[in-house]
Amino acid sequence: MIDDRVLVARVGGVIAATVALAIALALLLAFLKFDQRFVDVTVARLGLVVEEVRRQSETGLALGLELAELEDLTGVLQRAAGARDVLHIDILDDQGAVLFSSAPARLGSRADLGGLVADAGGRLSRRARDHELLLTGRLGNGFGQMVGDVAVYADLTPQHQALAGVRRELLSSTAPLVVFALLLTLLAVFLTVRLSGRADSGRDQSRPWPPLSPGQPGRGGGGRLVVRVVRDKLGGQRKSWS
Amino acid sequence: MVVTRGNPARNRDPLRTLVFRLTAIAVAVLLVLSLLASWLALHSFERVLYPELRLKAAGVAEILARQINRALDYDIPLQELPGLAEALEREIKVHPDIAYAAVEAPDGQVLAAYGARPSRLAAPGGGLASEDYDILVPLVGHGQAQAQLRLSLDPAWLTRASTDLMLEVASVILVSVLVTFEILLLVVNLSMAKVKTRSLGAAGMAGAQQPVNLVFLRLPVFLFCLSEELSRPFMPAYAQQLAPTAPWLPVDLAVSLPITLFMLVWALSQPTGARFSGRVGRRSAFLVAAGLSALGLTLTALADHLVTFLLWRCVTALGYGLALITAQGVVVDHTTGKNRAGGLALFIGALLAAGVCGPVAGGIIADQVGASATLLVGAGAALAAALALVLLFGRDPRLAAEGFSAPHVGGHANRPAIARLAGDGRFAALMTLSAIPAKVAATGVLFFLIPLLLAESGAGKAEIGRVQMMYFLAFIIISPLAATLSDRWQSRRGFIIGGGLATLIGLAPLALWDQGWSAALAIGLFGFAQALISAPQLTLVTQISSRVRVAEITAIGWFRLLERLGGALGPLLAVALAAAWSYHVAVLGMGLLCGVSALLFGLLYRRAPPTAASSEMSS
Repeated sequence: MIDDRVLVARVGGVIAATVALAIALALLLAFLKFDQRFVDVTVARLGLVVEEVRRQSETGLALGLELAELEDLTGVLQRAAGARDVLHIDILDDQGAVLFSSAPARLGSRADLGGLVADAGGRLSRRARDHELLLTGRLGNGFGQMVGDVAVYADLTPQHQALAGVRRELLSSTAPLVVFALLLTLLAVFLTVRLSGRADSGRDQSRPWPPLSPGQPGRGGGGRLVVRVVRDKLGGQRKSWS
Repeated sequence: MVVTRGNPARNRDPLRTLVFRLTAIAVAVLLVLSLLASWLALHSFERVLYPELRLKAAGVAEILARQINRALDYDIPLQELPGLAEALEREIKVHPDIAYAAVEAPDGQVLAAYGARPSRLAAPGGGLASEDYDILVPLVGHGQAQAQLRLSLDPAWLTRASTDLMLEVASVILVSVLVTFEILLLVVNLSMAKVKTRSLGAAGMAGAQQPVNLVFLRLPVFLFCLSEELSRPFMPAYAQQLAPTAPWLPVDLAVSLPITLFMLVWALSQPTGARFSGRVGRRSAFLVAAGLSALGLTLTALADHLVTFLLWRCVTALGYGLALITAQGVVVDHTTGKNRAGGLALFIGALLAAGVCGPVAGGIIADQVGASATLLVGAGAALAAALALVLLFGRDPRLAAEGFSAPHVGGHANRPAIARLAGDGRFAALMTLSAIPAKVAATGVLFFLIPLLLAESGAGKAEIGRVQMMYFLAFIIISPLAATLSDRWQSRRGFIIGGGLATLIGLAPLALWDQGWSAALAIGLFGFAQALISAPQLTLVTQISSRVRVAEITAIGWFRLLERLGGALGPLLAVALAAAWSYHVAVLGMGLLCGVSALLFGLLYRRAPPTAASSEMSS
């Protein structure tokens, strides 16, 4: 039996589901965008460390020294590694071998530079794996040749914790909102269909349809919008068939 | 859904009214609750983002202070330190979130500064006092503080970031509203169809065949067009990435070819597609088309060479052309001259709704998961369109091979028709001075130049999608109004000239600015201008067709075919102009093409005596 209750359930369901989905999707997108922006700000902050080390390294390279000869870089790296969230900083040769590092145990090892993605400006490349962020910047000598890289490793745990906090906060504050949206939509749809049915039945009084028989959908005057519309349409068709 | 003409108040369709009311409810609930949710979200975001911005600014301040402290250690007085202001300027320019930097003496005198100290401090997460936005670092020489460095965060940066998020949310809401409308229309019509069948049974007319409900065609067409529209914001940039795999092809040409080939294959597939669709039946043809498009989009996503990429774009275009001509065929088969305008309006409505939703959704998806994944989502949408058609029409014999009787568009039988049309000076003027230039500008600017221009100025794919959406949004709003007014005032020629000049006026500002709202505004004006032209063009075609004794639908078929062939030229012309000058000049060139053509059209198109023929299509 298709009557107003079925119609309300169907369209109410569709609208409520769409509204809930739209709000959830909008929030998800907003969160993802925020996540991106937040990490971008962190990358920009850590990028300052890369730039600072690069500036100091390239000053030495511009004097004609080889990268491996820049012995005072170890001190520079140790000071720069004191920046917030930085785990350690390496200077790599063009083969990826660690020439200098703020973590002495890494000297001589080979860095894993897989999965790096260049930023829009092309000056920095980045890779985020779990909680570790790797930021690299190319090192050039006085002739413009690329001779190695600065690699800054940072711990993103504080940022991820902050993001998890925001996620929790959003879920707890918006979940009731979505439930409220569902109920409000169902109520609004119910009222609209009912009022549309009433208005339609008021107009119908002048039409040449016989009264509805008991049990036939559409009886009651207050609702049964769909049945009334169909009767109107079929009425038109009957006239054209006859 | 019964499509009616005449007095709108008397013939108002109660189902459509109900759907509009229900959509209004969805809009109201969505707006109120999503604004509330967004406000909650923004508050949380800014509270977390602000300390991170302060940390970053503190890092910038530390680097600057270290450089200045070195000078102080060499006993260079700050007043005599050369290049201090320039050093501040250099740092501020690379950090858009910092508005102001200054070196201040202990008595507060500003020794050097760059930027403007923010006066408006109202970002929710950042506090309201000016100190909340300032980072102060002492400048030390020989262990003694001699001055201080002040950096001020830019509250406008936080506002811009929030606005960007709000625009994204607003885009999702708009897309949701249109999708809700499409689904509601379907759900209400399905409910009605069930009651209708039972009522006929009760009245003893169970065997009577109901007319094909064209509303059921909307969802498949909407989903199918969405599959292609999703890729609009990034297609040129995607081709640009693959351009190095074909070094023998100039990069600019490589970037324009996917769109040009797509338009070309689409246009050329129309006559053959119409015949194929007639031979195998509308349902089978649509399913084949959806399959082709899904295959094309999937293989496009996997392509790692420009040549294979172009090949799969052509396969997608073939499917696209076949699906659209098939859907039009269904409308033509099951409407008469009296209600065809309404039937085609339903079809065009689905096309435009997909035009609004596709670029926005595609841009957002591509920003999050990448262009290849978005193409795969498009392939999914094409398959969903096929599934929707099967579920909604079932095995209706009227969509099978023998179930139609409509004339084919184009093809061998219509050769004399094109000869008669081409022999008419007004048709030639309409095509060459209005329809083709408008289509050249539409494909050249909207699908080619805008994505490249905005990407070049640093816009993300979601932003490009939002700007492209403005065209379709303006078109949806203005097109019915322009159709009604041009009919009422009997002024098709005036509307076409006005639309051409409005295209020039709309696009000209893009030659100078492409930042912020200017691009969205210009593309909105462009959509407005094109909407002025669309319906009057079709009315003139129908008038000409009756004068040269060619069937209206055939004349419209040729009009569309020639127009789309012109559209294929759009990206080529755009790339030529961009290679010679710049993207900005290319946009201006497209505007000039439309403006000058419109003036020439006004001079050359002779006013014809009034005829009984009237517009069949409202859009």
